[in-house]
Amino acid sequence: MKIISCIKQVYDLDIVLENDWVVDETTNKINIDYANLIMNPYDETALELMLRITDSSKDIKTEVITIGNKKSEAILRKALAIGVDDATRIEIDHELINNPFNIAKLLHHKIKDDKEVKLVLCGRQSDIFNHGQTGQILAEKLGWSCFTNVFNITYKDSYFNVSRTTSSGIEHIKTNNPLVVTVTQSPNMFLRMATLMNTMKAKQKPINFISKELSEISEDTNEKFYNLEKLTVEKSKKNCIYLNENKNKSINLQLSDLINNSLNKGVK
Amino acid sequence: MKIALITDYNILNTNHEINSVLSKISNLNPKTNNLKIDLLYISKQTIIKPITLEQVNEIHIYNQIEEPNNISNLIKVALHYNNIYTPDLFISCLKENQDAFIPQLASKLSIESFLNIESIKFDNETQKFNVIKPIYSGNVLGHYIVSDRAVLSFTKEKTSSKLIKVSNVPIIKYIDYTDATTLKDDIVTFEKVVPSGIKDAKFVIVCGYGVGSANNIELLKDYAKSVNAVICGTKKVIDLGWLPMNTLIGTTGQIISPDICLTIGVSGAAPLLNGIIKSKLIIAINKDKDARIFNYADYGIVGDYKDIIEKEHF
Ligand SMILES: Cc1cc2nc3c(=O)[nH]c(=O)nc-3n(C[C@H](O)[C@H](O)[C@H](O)COP(=O)(O)OP(=O)(O)OC[C@H]3O[C@@H](n4cnc5c(N)ncnc54)[C@H](O)[C@@H]3O)c2cc1C
Repeated sequence: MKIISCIKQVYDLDIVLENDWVVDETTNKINIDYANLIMNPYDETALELMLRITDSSKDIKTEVITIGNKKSEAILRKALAIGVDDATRIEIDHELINNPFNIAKLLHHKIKDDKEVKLVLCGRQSDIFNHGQTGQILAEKLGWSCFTNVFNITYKDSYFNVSRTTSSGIEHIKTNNPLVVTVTQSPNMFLRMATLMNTMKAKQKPINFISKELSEISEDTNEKFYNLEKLTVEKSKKNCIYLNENKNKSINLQLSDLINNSLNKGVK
Repeated sequence: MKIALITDYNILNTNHEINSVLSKISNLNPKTNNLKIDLLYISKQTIIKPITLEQVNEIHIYNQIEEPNNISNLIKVALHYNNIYTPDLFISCLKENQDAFIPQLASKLSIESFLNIESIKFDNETQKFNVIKPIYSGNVLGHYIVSDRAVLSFTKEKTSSKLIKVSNVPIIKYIDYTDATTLKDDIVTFEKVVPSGIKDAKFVIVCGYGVGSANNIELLKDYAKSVNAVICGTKKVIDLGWLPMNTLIGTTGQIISPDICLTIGVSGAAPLLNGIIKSKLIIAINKDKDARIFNYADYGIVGDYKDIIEKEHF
């Protein structure tokens, strides 16, 4: 049996400064290239869930797949260093991966003939386009069941036990396979760290490569999809009034007065 | 042009969710642009009495579905309707499984899909729909031109704009559809989570990573109790297990609009900001004077929160 985790390299948007969120008129893009490249946080959670399954069932094989350029091999190496067995990179023109259909199509093409695969994990969402749909479309194409917003998954007696959040509570599902899950935030599910030695070893490991030509997406099918006409930045910035400690009124008194007044008045 | 609104909410009650969607598409001017709106209602219920529902032309009732929430039934019903009417837009307004239904239906039909859009427009010249949705984790808005047809949903919020009342009584059609699936052999147990009460709270305190520890959150809970506030957290706080998952605020959690939102040790990343921006009053406490949160707060206090929240709690 084999489990696959789909991971993506993204910009760390948390470190982008407020004033850098401006649209470049000529390119219709936003320049955030200075931000660090990291593994998408939801994919990290998914990857850790995968590794926890194999911690207790050693005979399960694991693989990570990413779609991206040569640089994105960094996250594959990271995955290899913490114990993932195989890594695959699918190459594609950057412009063609702006929508979940194309991504799901590429993943489907890679996964569909591998009868060993019983579970695919995807993060629920990644940065930039935030479509949050790749895993679901992949499941539909494969004809597998799909659970979204999963925060835990374990394997026992050839069943998967999936826990997920819904709008009214939490569902625990004992399910057959194969299946696709999309992973949401999960308490204390931080990605494990690699030892220095394993990091060194991972540098030598081979990475499978699927080239553009083989990845089966033609430019013309893409043109019809997801025409992002323009970007806008609409900020409702406020003029913040700062409260300061002063002799007549301590800061915590000022705060509680502000709260009480606002609650009584029903605010402004 | 035709829009199909698909729902499993009970349409007999004055329904907030459906009305909220209808109000968000009222700017498409259905009358002048000759847009017909159908409501697909999926339920176990048999027969309903005529109701008023603004803007809706016809209600199609799929009423023999044993498991209306089952995703494959939802898709089957949508495909059944699609084969007859081929709507330009499917808009989903479902209690559960919306995030699976939308992409999977779109994939079946090979059309575009959008989850949680902010608004939609209709361009009279090109006769195309324009969809506006947050991108770059909510730092930017993306304006998409729908190339052909699409399946989509709006963000769920508490507040909604008003509907124009014209006391419209749509035609009701019952659809004889019996090809529904019953759930396969999955064993599902459901754990009801105590509602966090966040959506309806007048005063919400958002705790960020800057509060420092689970123990500090316990102390802040005391404080929250004393001022009648509900406590919730950012993604970092939920990831650390300091607060339960259903208290997450932000685009991937809950979007709130209380009278007062007090943030403590929150930096103000866009996905979090978008969850609180509609609050009537935002007060931010952060020890970093350059924290992004201050750009979006009405009142700010720069400093260690332990010196600012009333001493008896620490
Ligand atoms: C696709 C995606 C979706 C996301 N969705 C969400 C979402 O819905 N909701 C969400 O919250 N996040 C979301 N995030 C994460 C988000 O980008 C941020 O990482 C997160 O909101 C930061 O949390 P924070 O403000 O608690 O922590 P930090 O950014 O670490 O900020 C901590 C702050 O506390 C201050 N501080 C430290 N000590 C003190 C003290 N003693 N007193 C006062 N202040 C102090 C610091 O100055 C700092 O500003 C998402 C991320 C991605 C990639």
